Amino acid sequence: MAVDDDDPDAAFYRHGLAEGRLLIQRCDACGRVRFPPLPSCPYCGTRLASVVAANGTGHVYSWVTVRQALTPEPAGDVPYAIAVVQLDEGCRVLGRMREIDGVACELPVQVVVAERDGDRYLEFVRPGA
Amino acid sequence: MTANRTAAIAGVGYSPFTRAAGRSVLDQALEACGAAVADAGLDRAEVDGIASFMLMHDSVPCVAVATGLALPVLRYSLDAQLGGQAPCHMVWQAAAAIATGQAKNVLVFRAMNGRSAARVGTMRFPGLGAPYRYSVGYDAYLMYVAMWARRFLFETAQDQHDLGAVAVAQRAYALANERAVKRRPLDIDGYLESRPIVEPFRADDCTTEIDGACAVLVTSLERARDLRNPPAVVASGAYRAGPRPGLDIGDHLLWDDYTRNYTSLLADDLFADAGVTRGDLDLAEIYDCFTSTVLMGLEGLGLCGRGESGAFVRSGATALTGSLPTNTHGGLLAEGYLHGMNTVTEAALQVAGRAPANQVAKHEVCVVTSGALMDGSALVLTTDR
Repeated sequence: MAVDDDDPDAAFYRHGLAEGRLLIQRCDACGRVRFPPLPSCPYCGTRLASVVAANGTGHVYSWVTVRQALTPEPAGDVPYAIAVVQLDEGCRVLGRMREIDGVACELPVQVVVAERDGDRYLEFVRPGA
Repeated sequence: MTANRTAAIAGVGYSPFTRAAGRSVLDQALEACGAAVADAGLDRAEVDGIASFMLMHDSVPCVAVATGLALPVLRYSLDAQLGGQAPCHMVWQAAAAIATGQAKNVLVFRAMNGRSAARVGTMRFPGLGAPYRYSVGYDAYLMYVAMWARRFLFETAQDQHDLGAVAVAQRAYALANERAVKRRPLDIDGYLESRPIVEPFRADDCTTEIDGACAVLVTSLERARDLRNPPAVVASGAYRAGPRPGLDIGDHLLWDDYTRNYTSLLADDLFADAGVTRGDLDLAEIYDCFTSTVLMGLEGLGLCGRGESGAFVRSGATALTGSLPTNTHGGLLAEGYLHGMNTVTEAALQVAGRAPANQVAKHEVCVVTSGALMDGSALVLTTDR
């Protein structure tokens, strides 16, 4: 699942993942948080932003369960579930559900940084799991 | 200056839709474009504009078609790196080019070896959103539409039976359409038995990728009136993206509401610009790479109430004998995935009263859409009334 990514605007995010942290941007003008990383605020256009650590709690906005792989790379993982999670701070992130059963819209989840073969990615688990 | 009611589709052309054409994309593009010009009754030398779209270089540029058709001059050319949001947009741009005197006769085409070669469904789209999706195996366009469908069904209190109603209704049309690649009868039980792919989608929720090409010839309404076919008048057109449409074709993380796509944003302007009301519509051709986009389109265009699209389809309203026949060729689901260009060609044939199958009896006003998620385009086509 390795991804080539040299986007300088996302350097802080990659460094955060390497440290096991989910970092997001908060606009210095309007205060809105955003993800994916962007050089300006998609709500007000301001270029100045601060990087903050997400507290890692949120809920499932939507999800899909992949029952048949469409490309070779993730075929060994089938079945797996991918969710769009709305963080309590207000922005949404994309990642894997650790468990594919019992997923539902609005389900509370905790975000963790998972690692496989040296690659880091976001994984969502139920609080207390 | 506006382009409303100044241009019309005067001709339509296809190459055969197959699962393995064994031919070049250019060869099929030339067949479809040549057929559209001949269908309009024009001399090829009168074509002076071409517009088309492709993803990841899966087609040929307009100059290649100009070369292959031996056109003496090209006054207008538009090659777009776009997907399903493009067909209506391209026709609307062709109408604008004609309205502003840039060209007189413009071909709009889509050609692809979409099954035997580069398949849109599993293309890896580069872009700033790529690292986030591919790192977790979120790697096919189907997944993005499924992600929206799940939230849409949740918020509108609909379910798999509502998705299935679309697949069943459109397959019924395909039975009579000799061009359709999926012509096996389908009922709701058969739908529910079809294998899950990416839930909430099953195999029968998904389009069928094909090789082929199709094209329309757009000219001025004045000229179209002197040609051999009844004109399909381009009464209005619109492209629309709402706030934060994302970083690339596969990035929807910043879009607020997965239950409303571009159709809800452009509908009022589209109908007002055409001088029609929703009640004037005789038929609809709604982009359907997957079943959910038909439900979202019906609700987004305001053709039924919020959360009522599944029941609307199940009631028979979208069938040939219903109040709003919809996707009369069987749609991309059953006729095949010519990336929505075949949605436009079907609309043009219907409005002209020339559909080889499933011709709608009253066909004066038709809405056509292109696209599934954040951005897209639409047309209102009418008879010359």
